[in-house]
Amino acid sequence: MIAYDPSFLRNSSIVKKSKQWYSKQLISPEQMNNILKNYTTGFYSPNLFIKIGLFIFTFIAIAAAVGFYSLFFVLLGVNAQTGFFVFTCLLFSVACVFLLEYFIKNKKVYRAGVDECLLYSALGFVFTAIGIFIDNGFEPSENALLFCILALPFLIAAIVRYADRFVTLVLAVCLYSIFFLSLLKLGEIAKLIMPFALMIISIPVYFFAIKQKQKESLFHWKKCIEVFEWLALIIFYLAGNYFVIREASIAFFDMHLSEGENIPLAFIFYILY
Amino acid sequence: MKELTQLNIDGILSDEQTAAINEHEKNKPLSVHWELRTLLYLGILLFTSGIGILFYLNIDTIGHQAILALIAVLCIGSFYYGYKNKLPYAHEETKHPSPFFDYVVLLACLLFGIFIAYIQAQYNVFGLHYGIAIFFPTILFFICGYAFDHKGVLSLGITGLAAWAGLSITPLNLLQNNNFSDTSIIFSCISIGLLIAGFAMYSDKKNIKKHFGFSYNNFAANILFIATLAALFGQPYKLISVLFLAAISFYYIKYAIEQHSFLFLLLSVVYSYIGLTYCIFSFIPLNGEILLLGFFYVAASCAGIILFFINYKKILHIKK
Repeated sequence: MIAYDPSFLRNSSIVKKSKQWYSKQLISPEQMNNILKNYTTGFYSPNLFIKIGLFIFTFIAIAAAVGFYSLFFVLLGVNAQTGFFVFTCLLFSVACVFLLEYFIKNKKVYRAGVDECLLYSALGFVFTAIGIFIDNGFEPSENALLFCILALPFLIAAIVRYADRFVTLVLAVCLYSIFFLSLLKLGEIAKLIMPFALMIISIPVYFFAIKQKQKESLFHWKKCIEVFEWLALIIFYLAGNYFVIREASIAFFDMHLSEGENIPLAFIFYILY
Repeated sequence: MKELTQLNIDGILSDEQTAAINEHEKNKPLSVHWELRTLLYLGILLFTSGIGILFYLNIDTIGHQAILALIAVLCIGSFYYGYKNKLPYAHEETKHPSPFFDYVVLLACLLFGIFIAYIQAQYNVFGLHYGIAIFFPTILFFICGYAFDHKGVLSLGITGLAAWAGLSITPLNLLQNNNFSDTSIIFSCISIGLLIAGFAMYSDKKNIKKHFGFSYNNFAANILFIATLAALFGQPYKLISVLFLAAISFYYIKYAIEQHSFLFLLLSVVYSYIGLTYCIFSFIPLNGEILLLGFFYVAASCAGIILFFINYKKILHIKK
């Protein structure tokens, strides 16, 4: 399931916990030394600044590889079609994943900048391919919905394999967008009930996340589940905030409100606060 | 508590200890330290901007003199507090026990800067001699930085010094606002950078406030690298610029290893990579097939740098 070495992950969590107990003097120094000796991790996860550097240079390297590849075909005089672009994106995505697996397996990178950059690029290539593939065939909201649904399996696969928090955030936003866009299909009534619908859906998401977090089998994804937890809280708050709703109604639903004018159903919010 | 049971099974923790830790985990208070800090920070930010807007909207009824007097009183009050509670000067790092003290000193210095800026903007006290207007606060910032042992105030002082020398800097501002095509600006940048770096080296040797070294070198490194790159891109002295760039990257990589500072390692590598890439591309004409080679170079060199970062401890012979 998870790409990183599970025993290393387990050890690093043991060491982290032990350091907390050590600082509270619940563990003797000899025991702490013993723990540090016995629960080693072979991960390469460098200092923050090195990480930033690695991320930047990995990104430039991927960009240069894309440039090299495309220039090659330009020089050959290939007349590129949509299918060719989709093929290119998928090719690079697969290449990124292969490199990512190589780095994790042989260089033992863990949150080192390289692995994150490769993962995000792989997903970025897939999303570009999906975007080209859909190619504005439908209404704007339908396009967005289709895009989110097609992106979903890739996001889930990436999280299951690499347990990345940023990808989890993207997945959560993607799921909320699917909910939002499919609810819009109800027509005019959707615009009125949208804030309440978002608030109501956030409640089970939050409690579900809290429950799943305790599960031992989901240990490696604990941090990812926490992302859902706090995003649910934030959405719950924002969806019930009058100012946000008013501005969002103007932006998303083409509502024309003059200054000081209320949105429909405004009285509910006045009562709530 | 899987970690705990694991440790118990492996025989590192005794049963009593495990029970004690379990008890501790169950009863320990939930930390809201960062939440409170964030709220406090947001509160201060909103409060000060609110006050600022209030003054701005009512400036005609309050009057400039009243505001200036208020700033002056606050400034003098904060300085008095700082002077009263100050620790005796020492060459080593002195840590004030009260967390409040640092903020008051910073506030006093910022208020003094605002005061000078205000009278200059409103009454044009220094006329067109902007240099003098910047010079006074700069001197004060340096004195306060050393006397109160305050890194933030020292950074203000360094910024003031650089501004006095003809430019306004913070690393970000330097990139956004300044035009580096002029030779005189490049020279003044390089000399200020060398001065600051040299002073940092000197105080490091003489053991005077060693912990200020980071602030000095952070400014010096950024300004030196950017000025040198600007000279390389825009001026005809290519060879000298390249040699100078090589010299400062060598110095800062050495400094990074000595201080175990990854920031300086990153800065040196990124800036010298930009310089090197520029050199290579300025030697080859950019067309067709050769451009293909160029892309290949970028991809390969980036891979090289990634390997360098992963293995730099082995390459630079750092044991740790």
